Amino acid sequence: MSKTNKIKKSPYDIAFIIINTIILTVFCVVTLYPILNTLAVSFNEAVDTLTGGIHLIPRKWTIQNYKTVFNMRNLMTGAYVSVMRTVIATLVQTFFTALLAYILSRKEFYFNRQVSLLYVVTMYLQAGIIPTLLLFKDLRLTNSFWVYIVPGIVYAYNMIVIRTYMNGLPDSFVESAQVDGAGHFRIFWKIIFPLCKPVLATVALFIAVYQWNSWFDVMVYNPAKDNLTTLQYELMKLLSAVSQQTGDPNAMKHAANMVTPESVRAAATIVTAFPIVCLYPFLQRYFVTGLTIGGVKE
Amino acid sequence: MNKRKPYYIIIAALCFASIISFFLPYLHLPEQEGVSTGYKYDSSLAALDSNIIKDVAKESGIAKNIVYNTAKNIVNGKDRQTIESRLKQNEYYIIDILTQRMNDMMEDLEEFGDIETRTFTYFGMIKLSASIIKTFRQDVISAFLVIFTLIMTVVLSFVAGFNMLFNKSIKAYRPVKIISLLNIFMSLIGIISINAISIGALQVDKFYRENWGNGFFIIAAVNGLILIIAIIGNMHERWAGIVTFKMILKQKQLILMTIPFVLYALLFYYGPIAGWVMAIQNYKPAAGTNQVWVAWDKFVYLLTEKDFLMAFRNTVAMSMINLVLSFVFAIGFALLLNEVVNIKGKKLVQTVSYLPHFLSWVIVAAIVKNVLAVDGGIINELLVKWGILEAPINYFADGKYFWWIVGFSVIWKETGWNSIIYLASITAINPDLYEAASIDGAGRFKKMIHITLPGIKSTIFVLLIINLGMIMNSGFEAQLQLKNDLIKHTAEVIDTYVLNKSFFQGADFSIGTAAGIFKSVISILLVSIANRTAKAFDQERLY
Repeated sequence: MSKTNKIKKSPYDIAFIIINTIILTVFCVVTLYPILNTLAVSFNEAVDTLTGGIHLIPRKWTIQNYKTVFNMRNLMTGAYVSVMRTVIATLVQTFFTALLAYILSRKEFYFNRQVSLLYVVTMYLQAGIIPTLLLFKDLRLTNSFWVYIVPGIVYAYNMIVIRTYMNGLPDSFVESAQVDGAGHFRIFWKIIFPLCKPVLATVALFIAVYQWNSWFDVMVYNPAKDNLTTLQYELMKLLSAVSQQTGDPNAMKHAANMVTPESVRAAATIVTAFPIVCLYPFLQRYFVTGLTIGGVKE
Repeated sequence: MNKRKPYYIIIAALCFASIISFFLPYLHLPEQEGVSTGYKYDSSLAALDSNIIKDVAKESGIAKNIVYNTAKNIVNGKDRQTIESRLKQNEYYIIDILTQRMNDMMEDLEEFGDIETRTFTYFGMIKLSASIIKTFRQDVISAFLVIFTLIMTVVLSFVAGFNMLFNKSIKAYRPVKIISLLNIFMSLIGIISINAISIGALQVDKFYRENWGNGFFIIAAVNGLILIIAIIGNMHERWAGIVTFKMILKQKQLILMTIPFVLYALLFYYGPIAGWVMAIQNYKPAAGTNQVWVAWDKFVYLLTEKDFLMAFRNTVAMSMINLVLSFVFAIGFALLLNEVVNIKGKKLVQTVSYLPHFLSWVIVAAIVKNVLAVDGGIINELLVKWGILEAPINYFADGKYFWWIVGFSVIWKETGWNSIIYLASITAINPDLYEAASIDGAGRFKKMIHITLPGIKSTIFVLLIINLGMIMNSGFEAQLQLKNDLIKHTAEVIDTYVLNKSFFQGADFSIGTAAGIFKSVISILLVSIANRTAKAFDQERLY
């Protein structure tokens, strides 16, 4: 690139760069505006928001909306469950996915093709919501916390990503450990697992994002359990309650208390999005590698 | 996988046929009235279909259809005068003969009708079939063939299996191969026979189905299982002859570690597939194991119902729109981003572009609704300000906007994320090409079009094929959050249709399952076609 810069830029090139910059700026604005707008609404006084015209900067600052959100019992239970399921599932699922990936990355293993096939098929062949629900009912997984953890212990796609990375490691690591008499689990845990940190971080991020953002499994498997609700599910209920609340006298009462559904929703949205939005920029290089491994190769 | 045996295709076809035959006995719908305690057994109809008519026609020399009609009239309880009116005077005597013989037959048959004597154990079935074959003219040979091939395939599979396990030399592969071929041949005959009997069963519907229904089911299931074993045995040379017991012992650690994972996959991923049987039942959770079977009823209902067909259309339409838009936008974005010289600016734009991917559809749907709101929505506000619209539009009140709303929501959420893979493959392009182009006087735009774009052609192609295979999965979270009753005709997709049918309207699990199967089967077909295509164009296969 440095060489091309030395060549004198033609007017066409300059025009191109200007247009390019404009397009990408517009892109960023379009991407960011709705989020910043929600942020502004969440910090603006509720009654004032109703008059409209809030774009990027709050007119009258307040944290009343957030106070209301943090006082909603369901949302806070949801936040607790969301954090728990994200942490537990990320640890458990990453470990087991990596273990299976290790087994299947052993080229001398006779059955690796059969077992791989068994898992790869699951990416395309899905039984559907109802049969799955009935099976989980029979297994007594519904109405329990474990329905968030157990069904996703190994996802084929994640397994393939890790396995591809492991295939790229030199065989000599494993071979020399085997000569020293280490068992396969020991080799996996002491040698391979630490070596795979970048790809494990990727997969852990995938799992964490999925877990944090999921609401559908709550709706299907644990709809009646208030103590097993998640933040996203509560947010969805809050957001979809729009039609009931417009003509609702309660809404007016809220308005008198300086809080409207609209502002509460904005604040709840920001609370829900906040952790993952703070986290992802630091993991950027990991998921770029992960996606590249899983997508193009193999 | 590359060295496939020539008969691999045959096995696949057989497996398919076996699955079909699995359902064949249920093809013919039982009558649904008063079915709650099981099928109503009608021995008189069965007697009508036995050898009696053939025998009487032979003895008396009267045409078979006349005899049959007479017998039918007798069964229907017509009075003697009406029956005689259809016959010549010298033929009257057959009425007595027929009445007597059919009464005897019906007495015999009453035994089978008794629920106590109905048996569905393996040997019980053979015994029962033998006695039925004696009584009826249909498919004697087929019935015997089914039993014969069934036993033979089991025996041969075991022989092959033991040979594989305990014979160390590679030469052991040859007998296994021969046995497998025999096995396939047997299964073929067995399947043809099963189908023949099933079709026969349709003719004598009540009696045959009554006593054979589950029998067919079991036969077909066992046959299918054997075929699967045969397939595995044939597809993988390692299993067929080279893997020995001693070698398995050597890898016992890895095998032990694998077992939980295999069980897990079988239980959690393949277990629910057993629930597909709900689609041919009228599933009621309260009925337990005592469900009413309705054959293809639910599928027929689906394919004739307007709502489902609309959901199907919407699914395909929205995926197509999403596919085209996301390809154009992601590739365009990657190309433009690649031209940014300022590293920090590039990094910033990239980071911003990934942001929406990490938001859940709950949040994105809320944002989309806000942006498109009638009063205060930024889109309406701008369009009115610029004079494009005279008054704000309610985008969620008119169905024609919905596909595009979903399309552009997906773009907003995923463009940055999708571009990652293109950016990665752009970095793999040889920099010399750019230099050469610069010397030839190509500008930035020209280089982008003539070098970068062709450089990522193969990535685009592979991803396009993968995504074409996924066309039945238009996603459902966006639709579920954004749809409302006003625009149901364009907003409903198959997944939301399933949810609706199973949880919200009527709680019909069978319809939901049938719709799910419909979707799964089509998408598997599409994925395998996509895989084949990618292979045919000499691209890397997906998995």
